[in-house]
Amino acid sequence: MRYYVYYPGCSQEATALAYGQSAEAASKALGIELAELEDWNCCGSTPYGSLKELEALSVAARNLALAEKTGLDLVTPCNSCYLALNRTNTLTPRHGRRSPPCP
Amino acid sequence: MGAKSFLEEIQAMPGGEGIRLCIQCGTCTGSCPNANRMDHSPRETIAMARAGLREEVLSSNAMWFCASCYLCTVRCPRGIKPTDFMHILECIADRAGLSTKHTRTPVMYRTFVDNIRNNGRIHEVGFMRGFYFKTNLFRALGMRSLAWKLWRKGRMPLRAKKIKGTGQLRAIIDKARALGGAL
Repeated sequence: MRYYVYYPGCSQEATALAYGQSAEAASKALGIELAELEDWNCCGSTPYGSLKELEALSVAARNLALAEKTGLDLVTPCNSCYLALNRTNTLTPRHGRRSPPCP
Repeated sequence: MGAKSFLEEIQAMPGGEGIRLCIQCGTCTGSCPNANRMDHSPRETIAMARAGLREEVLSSNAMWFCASCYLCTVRCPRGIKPTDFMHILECIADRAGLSTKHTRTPVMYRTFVDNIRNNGRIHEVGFMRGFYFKTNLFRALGMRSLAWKLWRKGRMPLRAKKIKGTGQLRAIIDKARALGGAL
């Protein structure tokens, strides 16, 4: 049994409902246990990142921080979400800097 | 912004530094599904950016028609990421308060950003409602048959689900805005 923390993406609760259901069913059949990431937020993909770069990276980073706490690897079926999260994960060590914590 | 040239402005953002490698082969334009709808093709846009034509590039509709299919990025023989470049142009245009009258995409994206700040996740119905209100409400009527089919399949939740950490997320967003919005 493999365990992953699961990032569904916003569309899975709406128009991509069937996609999410099939991803979960396929995972179950393959012996993969998916635990939904607690209180995940928008990944900051194209419509966000195209407009507000730093904001999009920041909201994606919240998801990565939440996932990090679980100690499990993060998976997502949505290609845009994957790209946004992966890109943030790559860029943050490169460009991240220390600044005073949020009030 | 000071005396930074347009090219320097682009190259300062991740994915922008590559455009200096462009050999103008046109593979990006040839791969682009929306190139025919753009004022200037991807290849042309890169050339214009390198030539410092800031106003022409930022008022063009080209980047707003990028579908983020990434075919250009996959195929570019020089390893440039034209998709990232298009997103950079959108960011710069937005920061400069520029939009183009040729497309509703900036309005759509701005509505998206507002929706995220409210809910933490996209509430598709609320998002589209906001978009149609700002653009053309009658176009929403044209979608009613699709809306009915989605509704019947449970794919159109009418009520928005806010995340628990909306306060936390808003603090993060506001901090990013206070930092100027760019890396």
